[in-house]
Amino acid sequence: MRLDEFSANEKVERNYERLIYCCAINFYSQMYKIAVPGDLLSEETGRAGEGTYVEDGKVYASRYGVLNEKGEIKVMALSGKYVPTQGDVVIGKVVEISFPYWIVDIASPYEARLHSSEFAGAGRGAGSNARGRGGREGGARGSGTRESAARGSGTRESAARGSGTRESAARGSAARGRGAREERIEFGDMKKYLDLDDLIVAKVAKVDALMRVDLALEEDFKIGRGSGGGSGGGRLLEISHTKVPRVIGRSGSMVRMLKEKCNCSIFIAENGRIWIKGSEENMNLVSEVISKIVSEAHTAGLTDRIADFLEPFRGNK
Amino acid sequence: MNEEREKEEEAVEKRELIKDGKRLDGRGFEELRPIKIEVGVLKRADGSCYFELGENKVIAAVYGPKEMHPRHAQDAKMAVVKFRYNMAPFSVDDRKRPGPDRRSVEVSKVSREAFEPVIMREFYPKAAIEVYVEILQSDAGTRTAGINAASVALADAGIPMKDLVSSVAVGKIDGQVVLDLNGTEDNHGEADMPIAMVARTNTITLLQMDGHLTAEEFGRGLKLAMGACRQIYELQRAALIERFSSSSNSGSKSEKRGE
Repeated sequence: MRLDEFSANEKVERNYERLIYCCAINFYSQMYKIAVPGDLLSEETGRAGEGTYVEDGKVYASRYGVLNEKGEIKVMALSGKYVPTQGDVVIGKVVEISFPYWIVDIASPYEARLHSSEFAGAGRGAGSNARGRGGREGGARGSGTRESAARGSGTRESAARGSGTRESAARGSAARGRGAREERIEFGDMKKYLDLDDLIVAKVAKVDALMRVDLALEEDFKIGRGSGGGSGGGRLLEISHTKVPRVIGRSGSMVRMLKEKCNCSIFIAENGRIWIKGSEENMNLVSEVISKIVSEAHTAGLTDRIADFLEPFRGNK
Repeated sequence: MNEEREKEEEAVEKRELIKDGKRLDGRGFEELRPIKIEVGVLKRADGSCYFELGENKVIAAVYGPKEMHPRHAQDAKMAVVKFRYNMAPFSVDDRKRPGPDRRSVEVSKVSREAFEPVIMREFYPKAAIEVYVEILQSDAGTRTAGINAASVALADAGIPMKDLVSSVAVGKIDGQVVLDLNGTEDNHGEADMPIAMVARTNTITLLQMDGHLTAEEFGRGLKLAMGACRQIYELQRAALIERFSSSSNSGSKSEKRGE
């Protein structure tokens, strides 16, 4: 800064002092360092990671967020829209039925589509057709479904177990493929399987250069309807996808703690949607804690602070 | 207030915009008006910023990236930037007729083009990034204030950018090249030249001129603007950093709740 070269007014100087003060805060307190687009981060281009770009042999920030210089230099944005990539598990909401696709909103600038053949096979596995689904909605499998979805989120936290799920998902879709040939969903029947506002858990199967997104259903894909969860109970929370890693915590520590202390099943999808299920009281607690995590996502030592916060709730049943 | 205005009008009549080496509002030739920046002032927008430059009061909101409508205007390779500059009816002395006019369409276009080199649009093919700049109160230099606000709002929305854009105007009054004209100076001066640039690299992304400057004056004005943009850049950056430094007190709030 070359303030001395220009007769800056008081306001400018005051703000500049504040800048120095902020840097000091970052240095001394439990704050992460914040990067702003255009900040020079390093001259080691080999370490350039997410949220950075390289120009003239130097690494600059391309996003506004938390700077992480351990190993790869990354800027973790604190806001921004979700862009689907292949393999992501997302929670989607059916917004349109356009034979033979369901158009699914995945909290992204790009809508996804789910082909009707995806459903036919899955329906077969769980009891053939629309009637089978009706039984599920009646609550016959309610708790069982939730349990395994909770386990699902657990697997995503650790890479080793994660590959296990992927394999089973692959097997699942193979079965579905066979199912599709045997029974086809007719033109008018699509909403018997999935209707508008239904919430589904799906994996992003393919994203092409034109950002057309194809989904594949996950096991126990159907989780509810609307944000209230419909007949099955449960609740949908929406946060910025950039804060999902903080809600999960290092190797899943945060979400594990939340599940234990709040006695809720919690399923976190990569697009920032979170499905929780438990007693009304416990769900309120979970949403409160998650909104706290979201508002403090830029601070260090977050898991410890949340642990302190949850301490009085130990043994909550 | 009235007295002040009378004095000003008198000075203008005498063709005295500069007196004793000072301008009418007491500033030196190379001095900016006071600046105030606030980040994230709107809850519903994806990114927002409130910006004050002297008597200018501007709010910028950013939405997106989102689906582009109309579809035929989509770009298969990169996001489309939409920029709307709009003056509130109450932003000027005589009520401004609401709605887009020739001037605001032009300002919107040049402002959009001031951002296109820095926004990494190829990250979001087919999508749209919408920037809305609302002028609440105007006193010359609103397009520069709008660009400064939009720049911070874009960063706040998490849009990938190569750098922040900073903007300032230079002009000529009473034969002197000065920085950041105010309303009276703009109305009675000889030239007004708004400039937007990436302060770090001195890459100019917007340059317009109204009036006459010699080549030498132009060069001096440009140099002046470069220095001022650097100052504004530091303020923009400080405002963004401060946003995530001040909310650390929410930890104490949680303590109260736990008990």
